[in-house]
Amino acid sequence: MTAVIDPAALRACIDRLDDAGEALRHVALDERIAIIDRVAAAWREPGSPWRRRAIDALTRTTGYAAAAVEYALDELWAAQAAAELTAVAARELGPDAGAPERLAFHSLAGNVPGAGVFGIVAALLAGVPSIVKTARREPEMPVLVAASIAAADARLGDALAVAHWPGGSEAHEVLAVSRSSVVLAYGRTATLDRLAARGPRRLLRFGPRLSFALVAREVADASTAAVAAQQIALFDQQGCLSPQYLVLEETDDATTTAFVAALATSLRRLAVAMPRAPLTLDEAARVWRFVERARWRAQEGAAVRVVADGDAGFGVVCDRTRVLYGSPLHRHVVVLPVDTLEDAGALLTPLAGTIEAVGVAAPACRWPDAAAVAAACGAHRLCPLDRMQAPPFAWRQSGHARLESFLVPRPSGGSRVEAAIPREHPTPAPAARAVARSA
Amino acid sequence: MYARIAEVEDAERSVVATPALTPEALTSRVLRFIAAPAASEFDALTLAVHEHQYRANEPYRRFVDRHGATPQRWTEIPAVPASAFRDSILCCATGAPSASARVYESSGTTEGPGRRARHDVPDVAVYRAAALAGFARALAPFTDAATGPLTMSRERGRRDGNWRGTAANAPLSGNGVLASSIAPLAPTARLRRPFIVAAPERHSHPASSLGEMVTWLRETYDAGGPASFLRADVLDLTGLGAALESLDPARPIVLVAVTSALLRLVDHGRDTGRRWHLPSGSVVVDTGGCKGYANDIGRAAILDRYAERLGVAPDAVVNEYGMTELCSQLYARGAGPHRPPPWLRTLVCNPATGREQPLGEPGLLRHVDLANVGSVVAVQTDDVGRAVDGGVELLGRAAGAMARGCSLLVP
Repeated sequence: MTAVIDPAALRACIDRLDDAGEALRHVALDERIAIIDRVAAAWREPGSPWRRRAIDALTRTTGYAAAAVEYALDELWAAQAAAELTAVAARELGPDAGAPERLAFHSLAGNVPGAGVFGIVAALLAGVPSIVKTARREPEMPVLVAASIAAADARLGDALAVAHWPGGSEAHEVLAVSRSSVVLAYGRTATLDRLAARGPRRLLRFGPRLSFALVAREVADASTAAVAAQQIALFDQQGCLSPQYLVLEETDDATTTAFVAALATSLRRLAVAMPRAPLTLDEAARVWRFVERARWRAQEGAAVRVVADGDAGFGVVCDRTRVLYGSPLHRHVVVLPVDTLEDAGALLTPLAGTIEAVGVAAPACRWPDAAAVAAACGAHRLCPLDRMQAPPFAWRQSGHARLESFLVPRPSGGSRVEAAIPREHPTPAPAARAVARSA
Repeated sequence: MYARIAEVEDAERSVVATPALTPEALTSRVLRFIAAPAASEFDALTLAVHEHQYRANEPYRRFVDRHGATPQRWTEIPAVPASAFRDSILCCATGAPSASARVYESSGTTEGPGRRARHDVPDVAVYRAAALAGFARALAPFTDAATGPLTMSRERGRRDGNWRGTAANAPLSGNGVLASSIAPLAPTARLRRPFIVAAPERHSHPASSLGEMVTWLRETYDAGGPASFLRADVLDLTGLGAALESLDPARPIVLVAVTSALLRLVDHGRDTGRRWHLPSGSVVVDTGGCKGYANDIGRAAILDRYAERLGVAPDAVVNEYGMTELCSQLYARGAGPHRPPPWLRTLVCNPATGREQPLGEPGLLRHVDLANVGSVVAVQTDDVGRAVDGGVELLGRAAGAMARGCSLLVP
């Protein structure tokens, strides 16, 4: 049980952060990057106490398999090595960059391991102290991150405070919002709206979004299916980078059938290597409703094929009816066969504005087609299929620039940073890294 | 749990054989059961209805075949997901619809107006019989205030040894849910009372199964109340408030309303500083939960609001639970559990396994309703509840599952 901070203590904490912000800004950017690089390196060490404690805590609080948590930690900290931080800083914190905001308030949500950490680190790099409210479902990771930063450098550590209070507490929220110059709000739309109603000076919304995979016919085989299965199984599709739909460029029905079967086989294997977290009754009901509805439609002649296994905890619904039924998550994916990748844009039009990432399995020559689909959907990320759940630090999460978001906006209101989707280069071959190392 | 149920039902099955029946004969038997329930016949009659539906209802036959089901007792009958009523016509009738056929549609609030549930009822007489008999069991006899309309029924149920666990032949459902503990209405005791209605009626909502039922109730029990204050989904709050103010304090009424209408009336009363005092002995029948109301509030809070603004004690409030896909209803008095009538049995099931939940554990409600003789007898809902001593405690609908992370759940 995480201790709840009382409003008076929160006020004192914010007072201290105001002072710490001044000291933080006297640390040169290169030095801040070097400190974070050391922290990241420490977390990547197999024997790291931070890492060990995080794995213990996250497997307990989230129910995710240790393999999934380890994957998350590996990728989270690999993305915060000096080289990548320097590149993002060069792009977003150039000589004519604006002044840092005075204080950031991060209201975290959800239980995807490491969610919100990029924002915490970005604030420090931008010279902005932060008060972080932990998520009810996963309160441990931000505490460990803050402790590891403080252990590496007291000046950065003093500029970061992590606290917990019940979501929606008016006394806490009014205080945190009123004292902050920028608020990063994660979570459900209702939560974001509530924080918006508190009147923040600036609000960066990180609301619920979804992602999908695009598979070109040239690579529609069992090995790509295995990669897709890993991305579906990681964190049980609870994150916005999880593929809920898989758009499959079809060669013929037999190939599609084989791909669906291979996807199911891989998901069944992952049920052993990386078991799904237990479901609540509501979650189980949602899964049941999705699977039974698909089975009923298939029974009544709709062009739908269902491979689902309640015991193994997954479901694949191949749907040719062009009706977009949402996944209930928890390792259930809708496969949408299309004639060409270009068709995916029209098919996914109803979801435009809700897409976070597009994961691509395709030869390099087909990536422009995939990029066009991603742009049409308003996606913020275009990446290789096997990297969907391993975002780079440069990821414009929910459309927000990583570092520039912590600078006082320029009078023109425009951004210095190119808003186009950053290119994440495809790996030479899929399945470059096995997620479930224990498999 | 299963072993004990099996013992009870083996005994039931030995009493009644399951001869093949014509649809007309089957309907007659269901009507006789509703009129004079015999717990020992439920299993055999339910299986006979299932067999008839397997023959006469093509989507249902495909569903049963897909499950490879050959049920030997009512708990084994495969339950059609309620959502199937949105995708298919599940009806046993063939040929042109008869004059006694009806088609009911849901309001579309669950999945939008394009995805309304449709229930084809080939013989409305069964629905009418079930609705009226169920209401009578839950509310009647309308006696004087000193006795209380429901207290008498409950005491009779106790005396009859009809509570869960008190008799070997008690009409238990599979998980111990009491099939009925409310004694049937003695026809001679029935008295008409003025109805005040804020619910759909047939003429304003011809496709509403609730509207049909309310109309039957008025035809049977109403002593001349005004027309419904809910017309074309617009609530006449002023008219409803005025009607309640002009009541004869010596003449108890029956107030039938969708819950959201009464909650809005309560809010209206708070806003305007008004309170109403229903005549002593009055009964409130509400239905629909908080659907259509701004906030989702619990049953206890609803009863408190009724008590505060309508002057009605929780024991005089009866909640009806029904759905378009069912021809029978469950009723709960005050904060008590919902009780099915003898021709309806309710299981509480684990959605992941389809198996019954232990007593007290929440799960999804599965109804086996003999009055659904013309469509499908077993319906799996996504309403959440738990079996408790004497009935089912409703816990809402399992539609609100949220992602634990930042994933967007597409409806």
